[in-house]
Amino acid sequence: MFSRLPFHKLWFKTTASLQLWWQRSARSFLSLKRGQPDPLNRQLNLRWNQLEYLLQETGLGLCRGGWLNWAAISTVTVLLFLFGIGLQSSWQIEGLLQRMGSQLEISVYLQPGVQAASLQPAVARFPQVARVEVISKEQAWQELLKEMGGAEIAGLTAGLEGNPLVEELQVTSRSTAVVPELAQQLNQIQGVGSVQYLDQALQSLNQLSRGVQQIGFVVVVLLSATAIAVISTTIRLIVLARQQEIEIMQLVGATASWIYLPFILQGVGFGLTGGTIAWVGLMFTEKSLLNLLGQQPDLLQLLGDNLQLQPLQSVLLLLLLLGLGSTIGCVGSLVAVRRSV
Amino acid sequence: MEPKPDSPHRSSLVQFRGVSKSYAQQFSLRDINLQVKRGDFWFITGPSGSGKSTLMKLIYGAERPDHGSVLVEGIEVNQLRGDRLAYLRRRLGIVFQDYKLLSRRTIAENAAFVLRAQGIPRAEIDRRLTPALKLVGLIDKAHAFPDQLSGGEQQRASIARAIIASPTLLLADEPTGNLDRDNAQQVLKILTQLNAAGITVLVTTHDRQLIQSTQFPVIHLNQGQVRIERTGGKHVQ
Repeated sequence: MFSRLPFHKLWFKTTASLQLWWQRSARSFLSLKRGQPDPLNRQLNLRWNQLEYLLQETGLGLCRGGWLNWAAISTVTVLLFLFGIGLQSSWQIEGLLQRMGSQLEISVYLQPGVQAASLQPAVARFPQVARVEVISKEQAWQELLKEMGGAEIAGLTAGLEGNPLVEELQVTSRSTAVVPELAQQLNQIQGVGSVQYLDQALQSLNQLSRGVQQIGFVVVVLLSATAIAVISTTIRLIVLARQQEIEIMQLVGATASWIYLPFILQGVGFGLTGGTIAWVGLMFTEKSLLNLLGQQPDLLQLLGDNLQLQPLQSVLLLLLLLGLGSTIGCVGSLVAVRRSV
Repeated sequence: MEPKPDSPHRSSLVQFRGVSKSYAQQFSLRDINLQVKRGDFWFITGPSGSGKSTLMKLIYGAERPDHGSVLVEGIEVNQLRGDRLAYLRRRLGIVFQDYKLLSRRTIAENAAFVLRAQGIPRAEIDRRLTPALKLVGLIDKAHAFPDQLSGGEQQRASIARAIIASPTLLLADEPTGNLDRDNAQQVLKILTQLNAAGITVLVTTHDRQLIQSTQFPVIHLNQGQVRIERTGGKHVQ
């Protein structure tokens, strides 16, 4: 009888039935709290019985499914695990970009003989500039000597007949978006020799982030279609196994939503189980990776710190996985019910 | 049909108004006009393929007429769809020749299934279950599975399922078709008791002996036409 129903109408019927059921349950509950007499209490009992029946029938369906359930759940788990990895990577790259962006500086090297202090006010007047710091050539030379080993090559100054470095301005821009434009403008100031910033690294990271997102999207779409097909087939087989029951239910006056709601819930159950397993898997993988990086040199440890998800992000990830899983489960079972019941 | 002598104002429960139904261009029912009143008991008989089951299916909305209309409790069944049809079916009890019991559920669960499928609370189901099983004599076999029962017992279980929701109309499609004489008589006795309790009963059957054993009126179907074969001494003047 549902095979003639278009998909959107079936979806509408399901959601409308659920909505009506909740509204009636809430109304019964509120009336009960206000101390209404027995009939409403009975109505509330009726709702609880209906919920109990739906859950029992859903459980029965899952029992009948046997190993088929695992086919559906494992497909959803793989899908959601990959979706989670994609999402997590995207968040981590985004975080890395933000951290780099907040430290982003433009190094402005002046021409030999030009004093950095003389150019500082002109540079500070640019609206995109947040801060300007002068690094004299003496400071730079001292830093260089320190990095190169200090006293051992102290004679180098004499050998080179003085400090060969130029003065430098460390410019911090207000936002990452204006860095290339600001760098170009700074380069045009008279007395500026060259300008350097982390443009290349940022572009690579942005490209990587976009690439991960695009590949992730394609993978998620393909796997979603696969998961819907597997769930739909599983539910359909369970529906076929219970065809006689469904026929009798129709003959004894069970409404359409009453018959197919347990199957829809079953599909949602697949999604929620898959989502939970995928989330546990992701958390375990992250923890293992962090442990592994913790035993590595400092640079990799630093990378590990950047890869760690915030607690709020972990919760958000779980909610997203459960949401996507239940949606896919619901769509899969709706397809099956529309075809089979 | 004419009213019972003892209750002249009985309203009609089922009405066929100029109903025709054909399968593959062959008439199963042709321009049928019928009226069944509340409290009636009718046998519907005729050769195989004469439209007995079609007549039943038209009443519970599993088939729709090509022409005409079927009314149950004044509601035109062929206009009902989806949930409205489901609500009408809740007021009917249906018994099938092949029992249609769920093999993985006990007799009590099978009988209760109708109420469960309608969302009735468990306490209410328990309250109705015992009298229904007592009436068909299966209270001791409530927890047995259908394959542990004889054909007659299975049919009685299906009657319990049909009456548990207190229907106004009981439709029994060849209820004794798979049963021996004794079991058939037992089933008929139960149906007669239900009718005496006020339930309108329609029974399709091939079994002339079964029909002869009672005084109930008979509708004879042949080549899509209806003939009232016996108006019966008990319910019809």
